[in-house]
Amino acid sequence: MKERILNFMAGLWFFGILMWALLFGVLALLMISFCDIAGMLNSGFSKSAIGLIVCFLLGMILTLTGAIPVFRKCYYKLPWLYPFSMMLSMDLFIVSIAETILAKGFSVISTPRHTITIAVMVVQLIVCRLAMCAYLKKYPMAIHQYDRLE
Amino acid sequence: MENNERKNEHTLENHREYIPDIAQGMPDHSHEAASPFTKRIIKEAVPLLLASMLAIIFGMMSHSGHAVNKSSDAKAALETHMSTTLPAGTRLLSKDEHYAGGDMTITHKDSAAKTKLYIWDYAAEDGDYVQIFVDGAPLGEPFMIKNTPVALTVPAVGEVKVVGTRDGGGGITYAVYYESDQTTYFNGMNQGGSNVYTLLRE
Repeated sequence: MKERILNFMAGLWFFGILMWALLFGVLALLMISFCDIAGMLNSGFSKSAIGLIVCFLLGMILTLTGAIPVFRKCYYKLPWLYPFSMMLSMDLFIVSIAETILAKGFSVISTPRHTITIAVMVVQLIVCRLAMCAYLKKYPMAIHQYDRLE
Repeated sequence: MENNERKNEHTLENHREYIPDIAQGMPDHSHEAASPFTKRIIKEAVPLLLASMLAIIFGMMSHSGHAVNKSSDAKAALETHMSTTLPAGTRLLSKDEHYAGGDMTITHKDSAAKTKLYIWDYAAEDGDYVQIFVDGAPLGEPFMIKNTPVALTVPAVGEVKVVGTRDGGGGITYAVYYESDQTTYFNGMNQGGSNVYTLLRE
């Protein structure tokens, strides 16, 4: 009986919250990259950056999923979900920082300021992506390396 | 001596037998212990939590949106487009509403040579840009106005012109607060338009 209740809670968390949070995260990643960043670069005008708020919400949901054993069950049932979630959150953090840098820099119309902002953003994107690559090389997200998951 | 050795052997044998007995009696935890995969998930939840906390801290710092003031003073300010009671940074509207204001002449008793001017967007932070000119000279580059006021130092006597560089949608809605007369002016204009504030000393 207890096991059934726990499974029900795990299902409720996955289908009620986690699935939507991940879907929202994917959409946010696309929107930030192709609408906000590209839009600011094309127009030269700043926009309100919301990426970090999305990062906070997604990060908290993924933290709870990882920390609470019942919520963690979805990672055992869907082994691809954990690498997907982690890489999505890493990418979202990187792109959100870039968006914030761009929004801050483009809040004043000045060509030198815009040039410096774009340079800082490109450096930040490259450094963060390299750090992400180094981390994932050291700790690969290859699930098949684990003889058992649960 | 022999007896002692036998006694020791017996004790050791008993001891040896005793350990497996306990082991057999106890539940096997080897499969219940957290797997390396689970350990990794738990371990990575900590930096994820820290990153989330940092994200919200920096996110809130860079996000300057204020709540709409719905007090009677705010409602009166919406009608008169002026207020001596509302503080700098007051937000009156959730969305921009087209309002083309006008030029103003401000007479004050401030004896100081310079005064502080606060400028902010009193409606939505939708990407309105303005540029300030003091006696015809630009005071910096055009910048985006947000709900959080930007403080600028201007002469207490002179002409301050606010030029609408870019309309983010719904007209350029902005407010200026002068320290000299401690009054807020809720003004507006279209893109390319301007409002002139003539500051005079009594």
